[in-house]
Formats: sequence, C-alpha cells, structure tokens
Amino acid sequence: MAIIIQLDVMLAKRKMKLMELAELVNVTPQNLSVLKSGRAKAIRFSTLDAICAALKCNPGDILLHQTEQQKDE
Amino acid sequence: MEKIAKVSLLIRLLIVLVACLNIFVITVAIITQSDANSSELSVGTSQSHISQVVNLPKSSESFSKELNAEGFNSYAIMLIPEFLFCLFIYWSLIKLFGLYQQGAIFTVIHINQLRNIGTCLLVWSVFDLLYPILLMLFLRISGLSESLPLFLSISSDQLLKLLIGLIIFVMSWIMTEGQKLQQEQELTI
Repeated sequence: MAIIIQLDVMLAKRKMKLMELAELVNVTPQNLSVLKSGRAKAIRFSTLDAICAALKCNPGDILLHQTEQQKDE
Repeated sequence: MEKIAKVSLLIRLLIVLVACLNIFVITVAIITQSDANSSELSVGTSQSHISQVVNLPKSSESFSKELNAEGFNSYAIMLIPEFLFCLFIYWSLIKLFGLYQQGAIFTVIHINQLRNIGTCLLVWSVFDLLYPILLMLFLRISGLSESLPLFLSISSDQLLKLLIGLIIFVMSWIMTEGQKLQQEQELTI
C-alpha cells in the first residue's frame, strides 16, 4: 500500500510502549499491532486524534505517503 | 447473539428429527412397497395416529409405474438417489446452524455451506431430469429390461428446485461480499 504507518518510529521517539499507547487511546493492543504492522485497511479520525494526542504529534508524523517510484528506489 | 444460538439449536434439533423421520418413512416405504405410487404409513391407535405420506417425485410417477410393471422396486430405485440429496442438504443445514450456534455468521466456512446447499439443489434438479433416461438406458444396455420406454419429463418440482438452488447460490455470493465488508470493518482501527 502507498500509505506507510510510522507508529513504531513515533513510539520509539516518545520512548513509549505499544501497551501504554493502547491504554491511552482506548484501543486494544491487538488492533494497534494491526495498525503498526500496516495490515489495517482504514483508520478512524477519532483513533488518529487519540493517537496524535497521546504521542503529541501530527497525523503526518504517523502516516506517510509513498509513491510506487519511491517504493522501487 | 444468544437468541441466534438458541434458535439455531432448536432448528438443528428439528432438522435431525425431520431427517430421522424421513429415513424411517423411506425405509418402511421401500420395504413395504405397494402397487400405488404413494404409500401411507400410519403409526398409533385408531383414535390418534401419525401419518406420513411418501410420494415419488411428480416427474417420475409414470416412470415408476413402468418400473413396477417390469417387476422392479420403484421406490428403492427412485427414492434412494433423491434421499441421498436430501441427506446431504440436512447434513449441510445441521453444519450451517451449528456455525450460527457458535456465533460464526459471516465466515468462509459458513458461506461454503450455503453454496453447497445451492449447488446440491441445482445438481438435484438436473439429476431429476436425467436420472430416468440414464437409468432406462442402463437397464436396456444391461439387458434387464427391453420394454421400458424412453422417458423425459420436466415438472414444477424440478423448476422449483432449480429456482431455490439459484437463489441460495446468489445468496451465498452476496454473503461473500458481506464477509469482505466485515473483514474490512475488522481491519478499520
């Protein structure tokens, strides 16, 4: 998929564990793991809002768009 | 969900009961075959009795008369293949409602069961049409009978089976789309 999830990068920057984030955003660790691994098909605005609030970042810090060309490089 | 589980259990028990009754009635009908095309089986006293009428498929009635005239057991010949289809459908329904009982509504196995039932009904309707011809050809080729006439008939039963089979098949297709939607919903965080 062209959208890359950089949740692990942000978690590392904030020195936060997935379980802690799951508790803060009120999402199950399993679902966050699905999001982190890039298997998720969509993300709700409410979830994105909660993640951004917990990690003190912007949606652009978590979601990255990558074109096919960039992917090949 | 609890309601679905309860109703599914009830339906499963009902299907098992109907299947057992069907097996019993057909077995008795085959063993005690009469000259008529339908046999009535009565159980109980003269004041209260349970009766179950065994009818041959409408499309095969005249063919079964011919078989009877030739000295064959038309019930055994005509009902056993029909009953095998029925058994398969009963078995699929029991499995289907078992899945409902476990709470699996939009799963691949459940959709496959539904598709199996639809396919079985479609095959059954075609089988109904071809079985008398194939059977008669077999009897002629094997030399068991030479006077049986060629027989082909289409009845409302066959068309109904075909229609129901098609509807169930389309429903399973729609369910597949539903399953995709559910999967997508599950992957929406």
